[in-house]
Amino acid sequence: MSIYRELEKIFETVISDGPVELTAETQSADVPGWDSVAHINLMVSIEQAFGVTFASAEMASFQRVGDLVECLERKGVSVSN
Amino acid sequence: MSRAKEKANSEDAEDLLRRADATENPPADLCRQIASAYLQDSDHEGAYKWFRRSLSSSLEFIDWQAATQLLRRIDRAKAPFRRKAHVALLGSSTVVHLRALLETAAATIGLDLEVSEAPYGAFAQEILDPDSTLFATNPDFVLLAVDRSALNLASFSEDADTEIQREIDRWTALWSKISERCSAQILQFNFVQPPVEPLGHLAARSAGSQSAMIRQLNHRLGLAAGEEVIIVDCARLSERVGVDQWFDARYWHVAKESVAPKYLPFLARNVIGLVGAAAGLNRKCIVLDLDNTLWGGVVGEDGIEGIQIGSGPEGEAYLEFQEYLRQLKSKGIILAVCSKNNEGDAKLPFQAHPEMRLTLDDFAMFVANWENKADNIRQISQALSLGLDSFVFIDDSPVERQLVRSALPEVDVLFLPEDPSNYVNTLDAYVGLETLSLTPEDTRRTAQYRARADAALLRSSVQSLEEFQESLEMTAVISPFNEIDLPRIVQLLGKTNQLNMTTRRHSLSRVRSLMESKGSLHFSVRLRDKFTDHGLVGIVIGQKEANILEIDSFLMSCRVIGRTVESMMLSETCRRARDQGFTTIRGVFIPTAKNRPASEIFANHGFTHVHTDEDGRELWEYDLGDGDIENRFIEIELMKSEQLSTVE
Repeated sequence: MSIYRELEKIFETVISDGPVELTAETQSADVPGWDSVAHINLMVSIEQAFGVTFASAEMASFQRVGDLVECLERKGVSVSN
Repeated sequence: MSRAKEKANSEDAEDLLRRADATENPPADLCRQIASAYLQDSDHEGAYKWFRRSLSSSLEFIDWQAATQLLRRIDRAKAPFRRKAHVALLGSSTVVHLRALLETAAATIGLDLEVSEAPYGAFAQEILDPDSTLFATNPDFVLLAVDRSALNLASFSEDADTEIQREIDRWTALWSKISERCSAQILQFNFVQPPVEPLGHLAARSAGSQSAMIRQLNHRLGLAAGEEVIIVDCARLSERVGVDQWFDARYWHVAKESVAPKYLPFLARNVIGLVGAAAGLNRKCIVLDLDNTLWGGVVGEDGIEGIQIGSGPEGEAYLEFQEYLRQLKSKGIILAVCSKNNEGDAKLPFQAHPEMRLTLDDFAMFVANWENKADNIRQISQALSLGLDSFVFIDDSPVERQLVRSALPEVDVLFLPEDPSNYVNTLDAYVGLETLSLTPEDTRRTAQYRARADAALLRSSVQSLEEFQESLEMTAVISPFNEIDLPRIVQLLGKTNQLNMTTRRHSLSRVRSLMESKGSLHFSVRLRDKFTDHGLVGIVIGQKEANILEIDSFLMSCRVIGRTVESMMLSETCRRARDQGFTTIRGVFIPTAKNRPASEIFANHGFTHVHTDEDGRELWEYDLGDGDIENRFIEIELMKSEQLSTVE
């Protein structure tokens, strides 16, 4: 499973009851329910799910899902199988 | 949940249920999948049951977020909610995440909670503004979910006391204002310690440090709250997880979250424990198994000598658990036993094992038989006239737990961990037993005494022994011997060893004849102080020898050692001896192996040493012409009967 698929699962669980498709170019406006409140829910959930810690500046810097994935990869996250 | 998964046919649902049944504690996501399958069938009651199940042992943020999403899809009118309530939530920083989790936590205890939130940070305006909308809906609860940033405390104060009092005045004024505007029950968060302290360890001895002021503020806020306002003890919750965990600077900087979001489920569950108590939804009775729950081993097989309780690592763990339960009982929780045992075997440890902390009297019901436990609990419920939703069941056996869980879904079943050392923590983390005040009169009294004692200690930085004695506000009630007191007097004569000048073990008839002999002097002393009544604790008997009063017996219970009771008793002896026309008091000290603590009493009160005989028996004299011996700290109250009749 790719990082994208993992993230889709988290998005589906935390902010929506429908399927979510994420690409590098997906932005908050593209996903119903991804507002500033949901953003915090996502950050906490992603930190727990991947066992990483975001810097406060990082949390505010994710414009596209691709930024988020790059950041996770920088932190050593790799999802296989 | 993806659409593909939602197409799960009934076969899939059965498969999911089989997987969940295979374990006592199925994973939260499996529970949610089952709930979704029920929703597919429009079975909202089934979905609700699995929603609850998904949170029964998880405090993970993601599970709570997911359950919150799930709850939005459940039609509350079709789920077995027990009560509806409305909370007005007022925060000093971001509380929007807490808001959603409060509704979720409430749903797990069958409370259909609607939370309305005041505009960000505007808690004071909302309370003070007569046109604010928050009170228009007439909420059942007002929750002041405030944090340290709402306080106006200097980073270091030269006058901490005034600053703290100003805060107390401010919060209590807001409470009054709320009470004027609606009849809601108020809940208020108390304040968490700062995660950093520039003064370091010096803060602990500086009243003006932030950490010292917040500690003091919480203490006084609790006293001010009394029975009226419910305090959510965030200070204690934060200490449990660690203050530096509770506050996460990153989330504060990004979103003004005063509580690290990952602890919000824990906080929400605790707040709802208190709301549940106020709404009458909390549990009132714990039903307990015995073998491997209250002691280690099986009493029916291992016998009373074989069970683990009191000593050894396991025995200590069970003892602590019993002690915790005993304390729950004294705050008003009812305890009952439901055990698969022969009744005689089950009761034996309570009757004969010296290390047991709980006694048979601690249980409202004791059911030991070989019947099904669900039936037994139903029977207990009927006998105690308590609904099944008032019960918590504690048993070490997963099989029994599972049986009760499925047969009696209203009963809360605790997941007891394997290691008895963790029993206490597990029960302590369960919030369904919160109570809002101490119901039994006795417990309440003890608590008040304790609170007063604490307050006294805080008020007066006791500087000298004299100030300490004065602060006790002691009063002695003096009475000549009478028939009612005689048994206690003879008991004290018979058993007092340390503060006893002559250790004469007079019998009842001997005391009676002393009372009747002409010119004798006798009185007993009861002592009370502002904390407690010590009862009858001192005795003086004097015999006439011409114009000398010889002290036959002079003793005090060691309960009142160091309270200057001896000075008061000698002072009173002087007064009475003078009134009866004596000129001198003769003190006798007969040394024993145990009365050394009394050996200096005559010397310390101005008596003159006259003689010591070969047995070490000392004679001392006090000339009443020198005035009465001083009694500085104890106020004297005479018995009514004595005030009326004149002293001989």
